[in-house]
Order: sequence, then structure tokens, then C-alpha cells
Amino acid sequence: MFSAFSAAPKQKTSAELHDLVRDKLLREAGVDYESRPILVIYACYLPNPAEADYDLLLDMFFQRLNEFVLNDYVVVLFAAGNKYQPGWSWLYKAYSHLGREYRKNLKNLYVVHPSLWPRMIIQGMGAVVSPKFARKVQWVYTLADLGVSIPLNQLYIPDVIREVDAKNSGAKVPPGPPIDDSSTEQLPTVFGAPLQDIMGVHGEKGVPRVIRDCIEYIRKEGLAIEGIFRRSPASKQLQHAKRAYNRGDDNFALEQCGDVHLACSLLKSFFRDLPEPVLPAATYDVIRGIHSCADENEQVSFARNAVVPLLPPPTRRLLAAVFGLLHQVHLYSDQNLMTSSNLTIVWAPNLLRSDNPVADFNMGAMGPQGGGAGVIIKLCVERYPEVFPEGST
Amino acid sequence: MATRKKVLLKVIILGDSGVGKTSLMNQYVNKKFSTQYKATIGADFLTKEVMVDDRLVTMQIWDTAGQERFQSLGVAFYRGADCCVLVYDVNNVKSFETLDSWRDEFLLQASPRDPDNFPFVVLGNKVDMEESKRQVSQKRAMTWCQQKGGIPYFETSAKEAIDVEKSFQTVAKNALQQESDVELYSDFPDPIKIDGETGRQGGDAGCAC
Repeated sequence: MFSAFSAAPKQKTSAELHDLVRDKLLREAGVDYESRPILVIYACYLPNPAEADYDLLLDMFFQRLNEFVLNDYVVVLFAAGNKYQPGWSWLYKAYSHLGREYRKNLKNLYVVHPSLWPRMIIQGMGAVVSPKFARKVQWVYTLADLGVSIPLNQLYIPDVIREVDAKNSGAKVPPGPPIDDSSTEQLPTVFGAPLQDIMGVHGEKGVPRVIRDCIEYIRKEGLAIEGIFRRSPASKQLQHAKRAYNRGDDNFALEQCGDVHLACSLLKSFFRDLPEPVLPAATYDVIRGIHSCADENEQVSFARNAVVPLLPPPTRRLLAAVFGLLHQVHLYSDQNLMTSSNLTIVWAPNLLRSDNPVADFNMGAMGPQGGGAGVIIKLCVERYPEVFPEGST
Repeated sequence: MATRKKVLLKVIILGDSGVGKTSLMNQYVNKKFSTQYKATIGADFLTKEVMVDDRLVTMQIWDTAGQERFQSLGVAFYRGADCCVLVYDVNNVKSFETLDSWRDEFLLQASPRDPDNFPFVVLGNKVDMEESKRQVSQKRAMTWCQQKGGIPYFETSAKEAIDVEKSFQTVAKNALQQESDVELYSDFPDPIKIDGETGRQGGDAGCAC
């Protein structure tokens, strides 16, 4: 599906498309520090699908690409600023057209300013079709970071990209305690705040204090408690604790509440309150791919290579921290009765959230009829060290 | 009397996680108790045909997950309910203290026509456990039920099948009362009647061709 259609479509001629590809969509940018030619692709110049024949566009694109791919090359993809998004099927076609030498000779693909959409597509295709390809992809969040690998002065950078970059770089704040300056109750500072505000765009501020407190407390006191993460705490206490963390109250000590279930509910609540769920509906298509894995080991590598890399860095760090704990909880399931299935049942609703609860149920189901997220969550619990090999750091 | 319209009663079971909602439903419908410790996914229902005052009625009992996310599952699940069963664990005072919010949530979501007289039934479950573990006295529970307009109260054990049958009989009776008080289907468009006569509820109306 295309994201936009214009009311009065006026098809571009093939000559126009040819020029578009040559002058705008695809540019050469000299060689990189290892003397490999650099190709730059600008998603911001993708034409309105109502005005352009995308199949024709693809042909032109490959004609142009053919001139480069006989030897090693690198690609920089400016993913941001695009008004139109080509659909899955078109991209899949594009990918399957890529002959072996295109893929083999491609040494690095730098995806600059990736939003969720390109991450999903590229990671999804890469990992499903070829894990080798996935390893060539590098996610770059600022132009400054790109400059480390690519001589920036050789690149043409459109204004729209510079604007996006200014925004991204501006959001980068030096690491520090996550909750300090804002004591206002109106704006959510912890519960309900966007994850990248709390943890930084790259997760550089680390997991927030409330998460660290809860994990530490549950590790110390809760691992053997029956029904941990299932039972509910007193709701007044929960509200009280949430307010304390939102205020950034340093005097609030979670342990003094003396209730492990409170800590568990705070954790779950943090995820539920996020403005963007950690597994949004946009990831469901990729997640469903888990069913094509032949055995559990393959599922583990699918989760590690195809699903986890879809998630923005702060989300990854947060999940790694929490699944580390859930893994431990599951190892005590002879005492706490919370097997990996039970943990999946109580956690899935906090991680999956679209505007369709029925779809969410279905995604969270663990059987082969389910949407796949249940399977993945359960794997993360059972085989945490393999799914998150670097842990939460 | 025998030719009266078949009645379907929708019953919703609510309460904190782990108080025994699924076990109560299973004991009532299947006469079974499982010692397996298993959280409930989302919501599911079982049906049971029961005789109430010489009338055969079908009870559709909705078991819900006690997880917080599903507290706001809302409208679709609660709408059209004829009775709401609130369950707590007599050995867990917190599960008793949240009954208020479960009740409020239900009334908010289901928005029954006459909220003051909507039938609730409260079950204090797990009375099979030793007395020393008990955290909520019968008196305290009954006082609460009185304050809420005289909600019927039972103490049950899904494990030992104590008073499960009896309490659900009351559920059925009060639900039926509610159902006949409200003009049938007044809130809903008429169901599509496949053969013009029986107008059965979805699913099992087989193809006649």
C-alpha cells in the first residue's frame, strides 16, 4: 500500500523518470576511505505513486545500478524525509531482482536517520532472506556518525535531511540521571513519557531509575514468590509509587513499601503507559515470520537477528534488562509457579498494543495459530542469553 | 410456558489475578478442578444450560484475565451482561479491597440501564485454606455487600466444590430477573433470523442447503 495518493494523477513519462533516477534518487559520491565507490539513495525524492509507474522506476533504478555493481561498492540510504513509502510487495520485488553480484559486492549499507519503517523492511528482508546481508547494514542516527565512515563533503545533502539531522542531534543530551529537573505533574516524566525522552535516542541515558529499582528489588526478594508478575498489588500504593517516580522523588524507597507485587506492577505499568508500545502493530508482519522457522534454534536466531534489531536502541536496552529478570524468574518456576508460558501470558498484553485488542490477543498467543509474538516473548524468557547476547549494556 | 423464547444469559466474572475465577467457572461448568497454575489469556467463555424456576436457560459465562491491561478491555466484553460475578480470595485482603474498582469499572463499561439495581454476586473464594491464613472476615465482606445495596454473598472453594453450584444458581436467577426486566433486545438490532423462527445465537446455525 502506498501512503498517499494525489487527487489528479498525471503520469510521469519514462524520460522524466529516467531523469529523476539519474539526478535525484540515486547519486554517485566518489569513493570512501577504502576506495570503494559510494552510491547514495535519497528516499525523500521518491515520487508520488499516483504519478509514477513504480515498476518502470525499478527498471531505471537497476539500469543505473548496473554501472556500479561489478566491483565492491557501498550504499548510503537517506531514509528520512520521504513523503511516499513504497509498499512491501514493491520492495520485495526490488530485492528479488537484485542479482548475486549486487548483494555480494555490496560491502556496507548505511541507513541514515532510520525510522521504524526502513528498519523493519531492511532488517526483515535481510534476516529472512539472508543473514549475511543483515550484517552489512549499519544504522546511522546522525550525520556526524555517518562522517566517521563516509567523507561527508562528497555527499549532496538535501535541506530536508539537514533538518531531520538537526532535530535528531538536538535531542542528544549528555548522559545524566534520567529524572532530575522537571517536577511538573502535568507532563509525564517517567510513566507515559516517550522512551527516547527518558533513555535518549540511542539509549545512552540507560534504563530509568524506576526500572532499575524494580529489577533489583524483585531479584533480591521476589524470585521465589508464588504468582510473581501475576498477582496485583494494592492499587492505591501503585498510584502513590508512580507519582513518586514521576516527581523524581529521591526519598521514595521502593523497598519500604514491602510488596514485591507492587514492584512487578510498576514494571508492567511502565510498559503499558508508554505512548508507543514496544512491539507496535507495524512490527506484526515481520514477527509472523517466526512461524517459518524449522526448529527452536532457528526461532532463537530469528528473534535475535530479525526482531530485536527492528527495535530502536532504547527499547532494546530496556527489553534486555527486563527479560534478563524474567529469565531468572522462570528459572525459579518450581517455587513461584510462573513458568515461561505464564510469564508470557501476563507480559504479552503489556508489550503488544495496537488499537485492536483482538489482534493483540492473537499476536500474543503462543501456539502455531497465534501471531508469533507469544512465541518470541516466550523464547526471550527461556533463552534470554542467546536472544540478547550483549545483555542490557 | 415450554414454547417461550430461549434465553441466553451473559455472565461476567471479574476480580484480581489468581483469586480463582477460571477455577470457579471450571468447577461449575465441568465439575473439575485443576491444580495446574495457569494464567488466563484475554477472555474466554463457557456455556452451561441450567434450569431456573422451571425454565431452561443457557448461561454464557465469561472468564476474564485479571491482568491490569484487561481492566480496560471494555465495552465489547461487558456490554449486554445480565449479571456480574465479583471474586476475591479470602486469604488476600488486597483482592478484596479492589472489588470496589472492579465494580466501578464494570458499571462504567457496561453502562447498564439501571446501575443501582444491576445484579452483582460476590464470591469469597479459597475457603478451603486453613483458617489462620484468612485475611478477610465474613463479616467484613458482608458489610461491604450490604453497603452496595445488598449484593448476595457466598463463600466458596473451587477446589473442594464448596457452594459453587449454589452461588451460580443465584447468579442465574438474578441474571434472568435482570433479563426479563429489560425489554428483550431493546438495546440491540434484531438478530438475523436464519429460518424465520428460531433466531439462534450465531455460530451453530448450520447451513441448510
